[in-house]
Amino acid sequence: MSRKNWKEKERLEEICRFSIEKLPTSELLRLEKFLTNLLAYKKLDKLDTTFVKGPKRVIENYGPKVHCDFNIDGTVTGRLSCSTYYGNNRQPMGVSFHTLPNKDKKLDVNIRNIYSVDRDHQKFITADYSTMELRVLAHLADVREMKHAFNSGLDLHSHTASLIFEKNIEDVQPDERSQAKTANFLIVYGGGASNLSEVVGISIQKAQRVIDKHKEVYHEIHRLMLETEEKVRQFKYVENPFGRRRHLPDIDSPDAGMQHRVLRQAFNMIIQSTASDILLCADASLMNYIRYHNYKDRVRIAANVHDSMEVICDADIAPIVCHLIIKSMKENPVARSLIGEFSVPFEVELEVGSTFGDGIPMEECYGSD
Amino acid sequence: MLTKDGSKTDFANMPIEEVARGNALDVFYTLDLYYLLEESLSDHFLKFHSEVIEPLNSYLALQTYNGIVIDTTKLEEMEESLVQKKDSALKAIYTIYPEGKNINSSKDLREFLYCDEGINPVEGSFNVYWPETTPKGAPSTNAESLAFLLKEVTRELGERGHE
Repeated sequence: MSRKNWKEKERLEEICRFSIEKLPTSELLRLEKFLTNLLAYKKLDKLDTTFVKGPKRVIENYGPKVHCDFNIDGTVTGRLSCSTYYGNNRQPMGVSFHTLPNKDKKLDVNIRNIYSVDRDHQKFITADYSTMELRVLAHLADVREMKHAFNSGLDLHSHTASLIFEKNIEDVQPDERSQAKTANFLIVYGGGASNLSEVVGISIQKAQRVIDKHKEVYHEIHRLMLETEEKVRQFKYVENPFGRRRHLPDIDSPDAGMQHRVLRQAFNMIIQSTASDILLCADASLMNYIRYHNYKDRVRIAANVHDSMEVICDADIAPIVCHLIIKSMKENPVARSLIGEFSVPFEVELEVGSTFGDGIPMEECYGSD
Repeated sequence: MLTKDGSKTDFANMPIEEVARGNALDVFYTLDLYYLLEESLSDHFLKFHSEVIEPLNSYLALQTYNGIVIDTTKLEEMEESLVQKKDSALKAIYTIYPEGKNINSSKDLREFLYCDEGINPVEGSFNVYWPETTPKGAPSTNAESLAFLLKEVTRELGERGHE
């Protein structure tokens, strides 16, 4: 968004706030009820049309299955792209399996519950890397404070807030944590003060102060950004630790805006592609374990969604498979053999259920051992 | 398949020598292309490719082939529950929204929510100012604008002691 458009947006929002403040309380309560129900209706209608009526119409003709066509060369960062089809006639689903919404706690709707195991005696396991991209960033940029947080099991966003707002971690307020969390993610995706202001609802000036302080406390990230810029300008490509390259010839563009965009893409590529290649290595590690344990006919990787792995296996071996998945993702022998040791641990959240959406934490299913 | 002069042909009617030569050329240029690509890829990436990506390809093909089952009973239940939830939301909306007005109509919503400036307010409307305009300059009623309004209304109610 240009500065002019941004100013206009801020102006409209300010007038809107002012007009709301003028309403009597009874009208505000009425408006709140109206908007809450309207937004709920619109969301429910979208879920119904896209994820229920759509499949219902198609599975009558093509059978009750979706087939995810994962493409290993589908994105520049190496993330798996996914086209999803119904039945064997390759009827496009219209939405990617990657974009299935998470459980909506407020509306109590979980669309993922309709995707299930093949047979009754099976389990659906979802294993998700937690804050993977920030861990990759901490490792690649050698960020002392981030590494300290990850290695000591601290909550990264609270730790960041404590550094930015210069207070003890236990005194960090929820809104301060939220600002720090957004700033952490914005750095990876190339956002700035205007994005922070928009997401957490603070003034641009305050957002700028948070970003400046973030740069100060995590100065190593900004050193990596400068190094990346130098490399892109010299070689016209960036490369992740696995050797995956993204060519960026537009760095020579006379358009300063384009150059800025290229630099953002370059930094983002290093982080995202490393994270996604680590997941591919975890897949490869798990496949090796499956072969070793001779579970080929009893376990299958059903999908890879962003930083997670979805596995369907027989219920009697599910505890062992959970253990193998954790080993593949946390220890990740294939990734270690290719790029060496990581300086921060990988954390995995693993849930077990009978559908894609109804999983409960593994510890609750099988205990913490 | 088209020949050089544009006429149609197929492998079944092609002399075997020509097919063999064509295939040999295919292999030759593919190998040439491989060497060319190999030069521009780092050894590191080639190792990653041979140890991870190549073996993964067959697993991904299996993932596609096996697919994921849709539980039709759960699908029915989900539809039923969504219909019920939509109905109750709709009922609550129409205790406030005038009969005959359509909630899917941006024009109707604009008239009901926003103050005038070219908009004809309807009875019971709120007359607030819009937080955003559409690309054509009309007051926006998209989900983001409505969510912004709700956030501000909730904040204001909180400040007045209504949690």
